[in-house]
Amino acid sequence: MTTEPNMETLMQAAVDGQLTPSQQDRLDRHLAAHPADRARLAAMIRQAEMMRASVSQPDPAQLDRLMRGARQSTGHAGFRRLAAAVAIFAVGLGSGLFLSRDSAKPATLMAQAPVQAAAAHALYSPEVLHPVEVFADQRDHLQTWLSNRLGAPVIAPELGDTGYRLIGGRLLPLGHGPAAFFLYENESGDRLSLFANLTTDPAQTSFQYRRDGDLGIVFWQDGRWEYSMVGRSGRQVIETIARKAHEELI
Amino acid sequence: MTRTFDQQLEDALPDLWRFAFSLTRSHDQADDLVQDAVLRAIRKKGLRWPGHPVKPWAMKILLNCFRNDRRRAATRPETDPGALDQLVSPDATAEERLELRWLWRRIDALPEDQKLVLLAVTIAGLTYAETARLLGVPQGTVMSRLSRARTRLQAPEEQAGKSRLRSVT
Repeated sequence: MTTEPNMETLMQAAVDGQLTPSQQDRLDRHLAAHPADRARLAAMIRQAEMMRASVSQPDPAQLDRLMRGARQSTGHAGFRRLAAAVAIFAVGLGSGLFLSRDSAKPATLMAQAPVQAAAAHALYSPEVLHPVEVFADQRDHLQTWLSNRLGAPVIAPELGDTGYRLIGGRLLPLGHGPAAFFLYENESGDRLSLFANLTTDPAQTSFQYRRDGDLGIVFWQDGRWEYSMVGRSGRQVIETIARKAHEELI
Repeated sequence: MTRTFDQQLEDALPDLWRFAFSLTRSHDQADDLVQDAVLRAIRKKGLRWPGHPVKPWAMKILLNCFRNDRRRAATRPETDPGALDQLVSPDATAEERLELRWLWRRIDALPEDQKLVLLAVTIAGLTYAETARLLGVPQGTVMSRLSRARTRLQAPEEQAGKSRLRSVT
């Protein structure tokens, strides 16, 4: 990370205007001594300018229409639903019971999922030999199988630079339906799981956190999908990784 | 003063549209893609990294929408070569038009991973770090793809037109 970028990288950065002043100096000195590179850089700059110029600026009025169209579709219904979902979760947190405010509906899956996710994590994460049914070397098979069982495309997100790698996954029950369970591990052997299930009641929520014993759970819903990320780390860490995972899921 | 989510999203709109157009090469498809991405961005506002800039995040949503659409369509929709002509300024000479058409034909013939990096940097105006995050690859990979893409575009007449029609399997 701290190594100086090579000359080729500086040439590209010059085309894109992403050079720091000291890099610019280094490049200038190099170019003064290398006329072939000077010519190549000029040609690359010209081509990039042609590309940029050919994709013209869109009509502002049209962009305005697109923005308004998108805003209208998100409307107030979605907002009320979000508020309701947050309220249900808050009630669940406060009372320890997962009762919806609407007493006609006894318990919501929304609040069941994180409980089930924590139970699954507690049960499977200590397993040495059989933590998952399908290991990550058969990732495609795992995703196809779970997608078929859940009835919608499921992906096991890459957790990128968080240091966590996918171990594999399994199919689990949630109420009367199926759920997908993915287990991750980092180099120090800490494990983290992602539990994903579908609901019939689409909603959008932000990240919500609760603790269950020594487990931290971050729960969120995006459309029909509910996700629970469970681990032993603190809220900040799990929520950061949850955001990372969600970026892969959007 | 940092700009609000809505302001940042509006600021990013022109670049989002240009990126969408460079991917689809169609006005209508670019409009649809931008609207879809903006809709999702507004809905997913609460799931964003707080304090991180909106533009690269919205670009990622747009790219995901594009990939989903294309996966849904059995074959890759043929890009409309006429659409580029509409964008060339009317006072461009015939020679300039020809050169431009050649350039885009070569861009289309690039390997997909190189093409995406080139468009993300040049058209979407993302930094290298943002591009790396958009595509989920290390920044070093972004640099080498970019360099290879630009080298290929410079190479004289290399099998030009050969991979004009490509299907995605």
